[in-house]
Amino acid sequence: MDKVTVYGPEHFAPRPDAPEAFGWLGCGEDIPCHAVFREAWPEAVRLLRVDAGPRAATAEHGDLLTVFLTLGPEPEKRVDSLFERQAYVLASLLNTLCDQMLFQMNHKFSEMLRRELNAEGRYMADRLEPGAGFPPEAQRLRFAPLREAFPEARISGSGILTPAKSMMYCVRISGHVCDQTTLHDCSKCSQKNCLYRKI
Amino acid sequence: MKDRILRDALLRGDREAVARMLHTGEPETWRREKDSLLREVTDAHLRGGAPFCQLTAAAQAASAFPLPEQPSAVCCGGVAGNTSAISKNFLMMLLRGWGLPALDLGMDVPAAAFLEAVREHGVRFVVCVGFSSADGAFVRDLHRQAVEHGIRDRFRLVLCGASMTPEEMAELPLDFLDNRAAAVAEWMVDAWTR
Repeated sequence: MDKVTVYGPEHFAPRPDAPEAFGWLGCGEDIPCHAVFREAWPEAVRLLRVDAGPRAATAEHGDLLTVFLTLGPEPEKRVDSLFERQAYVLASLLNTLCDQMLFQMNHKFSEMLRRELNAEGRYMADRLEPGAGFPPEAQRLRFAPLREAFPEARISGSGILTPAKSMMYCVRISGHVCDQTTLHDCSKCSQKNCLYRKI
Repeated sequence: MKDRILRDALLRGDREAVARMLHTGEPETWRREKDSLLREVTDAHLRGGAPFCQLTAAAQAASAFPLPEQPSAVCCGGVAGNTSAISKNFLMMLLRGWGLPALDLGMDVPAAAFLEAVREHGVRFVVCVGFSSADGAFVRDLHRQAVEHGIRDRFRLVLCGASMTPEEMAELPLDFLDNRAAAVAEWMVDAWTR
């Protein structure tokens, strides 16, 4: 039986960071379009605060801890609707802010888990992620205990998560201090042209 | 002088300024200028010399140009299993910027729906937006069904967004494949105007 723990929005207040968001977009002050992106920034931040419903949960089974993080379905609906209205700059900026928020959640949550586990004399070891040795069938199996907490969430046959602004991985828990990485490791991922790839 | 003003407005992403210019006449001249600018920015982006934000801004401003009054020649949708719309949205944005009428089939689209668009709407380009190496199987199945229904010669097949090895790519029955929306849009425009 899995032990499920749910973490609500109070753990994950949005912290929009302009330099990071503009860095991901490749947008700098020397580029002609910078002004239109800068002008869209306050509205993108407002929409992020309105739409994002950040939540997380873990399911513990033996030495395996499944982690699911999501901003909920609203941000993607908003981004889609902005694209339909041809508000491309705002759509693109909001999409980037959502990705940024999800990655910030991931970082914060990993640190929180690490502290909780360490206090119990347990340690985070290797991390299994989609695209890096974590097949879709295994994802669906590991997600099953979390379905009740996230009834809107789905995993497609090719492993794509719905809502899109979600993330899922497993962490192996060890009784020994472990120095392996517990954040995302881009070098293991097959998406070679990913916007956020850091190698 | 006016050409320069148009180019600056496009680079700034200023749709209102472009719309104001269109009201003062010479729309065909400006359409050529707009396409030329989009080509420059796209080429620069694909060479790593311009960020995607610049392309986004130019596409937003270019959407002030009305679409030609003709049926969609392109249908675009996420392959079955792909529920994340962002790549498809970027591609639709670029096609709109170029003034190419495209039918948006949405996401998680079965092969049969792409073929339906060929039969019902007469589209000549089918663009599948993928995500994983499993997309190869989808493309092969779509190709097989099109052959069985005798309509494979009616359209060109494009895959955008999949991540796979060059060997896997070479074996697919595709007219074009690239995982960059800008490269796919540029190929589509060239194929459309030829």
